[in-house]
Amino acid sequence: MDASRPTLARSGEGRLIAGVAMGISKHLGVNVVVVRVVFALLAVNGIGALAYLAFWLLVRDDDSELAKPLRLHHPRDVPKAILRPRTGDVPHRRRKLLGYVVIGVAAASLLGAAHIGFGGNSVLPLSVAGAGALLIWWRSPEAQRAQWTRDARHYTSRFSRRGPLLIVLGGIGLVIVGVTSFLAANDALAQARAGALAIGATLVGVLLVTGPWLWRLLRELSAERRARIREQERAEVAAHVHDSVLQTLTLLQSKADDPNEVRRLARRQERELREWLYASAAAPATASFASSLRQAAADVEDAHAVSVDVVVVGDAPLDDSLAATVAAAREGMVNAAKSSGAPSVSVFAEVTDRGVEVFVRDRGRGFDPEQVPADRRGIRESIVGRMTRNGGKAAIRSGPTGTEIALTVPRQARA
Amino acid sequence: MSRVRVVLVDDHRLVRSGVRAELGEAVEVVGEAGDVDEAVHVITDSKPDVVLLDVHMPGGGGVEVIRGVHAQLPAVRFLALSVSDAAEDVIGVVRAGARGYVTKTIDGPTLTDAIVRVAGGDAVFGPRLAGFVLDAFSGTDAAPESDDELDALTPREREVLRLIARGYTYREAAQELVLSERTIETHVSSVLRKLQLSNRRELAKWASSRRLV
Repeated sequence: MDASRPTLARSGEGRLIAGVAMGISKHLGVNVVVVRVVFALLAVNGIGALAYLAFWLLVRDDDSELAKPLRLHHPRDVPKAILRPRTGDVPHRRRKLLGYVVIGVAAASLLGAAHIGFGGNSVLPLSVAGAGALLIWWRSPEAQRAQWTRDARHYTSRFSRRGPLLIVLGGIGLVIVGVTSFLAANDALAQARAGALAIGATLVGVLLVTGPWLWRLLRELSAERRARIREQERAEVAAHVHDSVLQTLTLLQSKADDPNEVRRLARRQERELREWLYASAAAPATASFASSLRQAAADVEDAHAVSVDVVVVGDAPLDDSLAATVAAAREGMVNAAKSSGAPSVSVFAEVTDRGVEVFVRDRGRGFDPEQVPADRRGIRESIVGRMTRNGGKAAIRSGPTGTEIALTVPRQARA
Repeated sequence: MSRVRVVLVDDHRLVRSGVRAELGEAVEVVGEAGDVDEAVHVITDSKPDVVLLDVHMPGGGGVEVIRGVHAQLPAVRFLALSVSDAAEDVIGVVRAGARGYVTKTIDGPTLTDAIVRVAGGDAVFGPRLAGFVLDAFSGTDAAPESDDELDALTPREREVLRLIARGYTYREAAQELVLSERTIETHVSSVLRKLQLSNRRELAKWASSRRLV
């Protein structure tokens, strides 16, 4: 195939109705106006319109906007979804509006010429039915299906799962209302009833015959979809295990002679895996006190090859004084890791309505806070000074059984 | 005093042999099991004092083992030993009947000590479990309509739990609060009872999220 010639696809860019003419013009390399005029001329005897419809249904949609996942989390997203901007700038959209007006006038005069003249009171019902049909047909089924599978796991609220269904049901409702009122307006309701009865009976018959087959097809489709989602998830897990656990195990083998390094690697991997396994469900969107304290402990673990066990009760969004508390606690952990000689450090934090308390404890050789030389800024400045400046306080207890640093800060009044 | 007879239940053989090597003289391992059915079988046969129980195992985990044994052998006590961080797992296995929870990072002497304690009928709370319990029982001021004493911790119990969460041993906590170690044990046992019997919404929620009682 000629490489310079794009495959025939309904163009997402510069489309007036469904992108058929634009797509053909791109494919054949002909000016789009020519294609449109040909369609319009052919439309006089109906063939043009039929051909357009056939192209619309049969030719693949190439709208890149549709490929982007559309999230429906709330009923107010529905209008946005229907009116989602197509590619194209404002002048194009104006031209598009003009196009619609021309098409509308042409259709109306055609109908008039063919003496299918309905009363003026038919316009509204027909518009309603048309809007309903538009709702149903707006998004091509393949894009919809791809999006459903892709978004299946992101759908959270009840509406978001049912959103697409609600749109289709709304469309069906509009069509029914529109057609019924059109029939009523033209006094054709009685005949229509007989016709509808016949059609209904036929439909039921067809359903009875093909029903089991359709049902099986549907079930197979959904089973296939589930299998695909499972497969995707498995692949994701496999990729994660490969990137993290397997890599670390390889590293461990090459560092087997260095116990400190091995311990550090193992701790870090353990922490990452834990986070991945347990934290995803409750991961807060903004930085919280608990998460930053855990992060600080993780950093100290990595940097100083000790294990830091963190227990946090309660949580609060991070403000300035809490950030300072985390920084002071980190300094306490670093201090314990560097000078206590203890292999592990315990951190306990409790957040209540009244305030926040953090305890950093090690079981190493203690020190006498009075004996710390004035040039050691770590404790005096980074812990005590920092807490005082932020309206809290720090108490240090140290003895032969270890050291405990207690940090307390009152909660700032909530606005 | 005779040695405490222990059964190890963990689906990883490496972990079992590691734990066995860590345990001190006061403890005698009389059996091992790698899954739920085997565990129920081994425990029924050997009737140990204490079962050291992994929380996560194929075929149901620690909760299923406790369920399978507890009714017939109420004298057998369970101590959960796990790496799991998830609150619902820990609370679930304790509510099913375990008398304590320690993490696998615990050192040998502390673990031996914990087993002896559990054998003696005490409860063993590590820092992590203490933290979970404080979390679960927090906000008691917000629920004054509940006057069930099971649904709230006393100030003393809270104090004890906070010390344990800070990494204190029972003895250190006793010194800190100027109490006897026995009193600390009594407080912790009382917390365990509340943890197992209370119907507090948080506890029920944690337990039911994994369909554990």
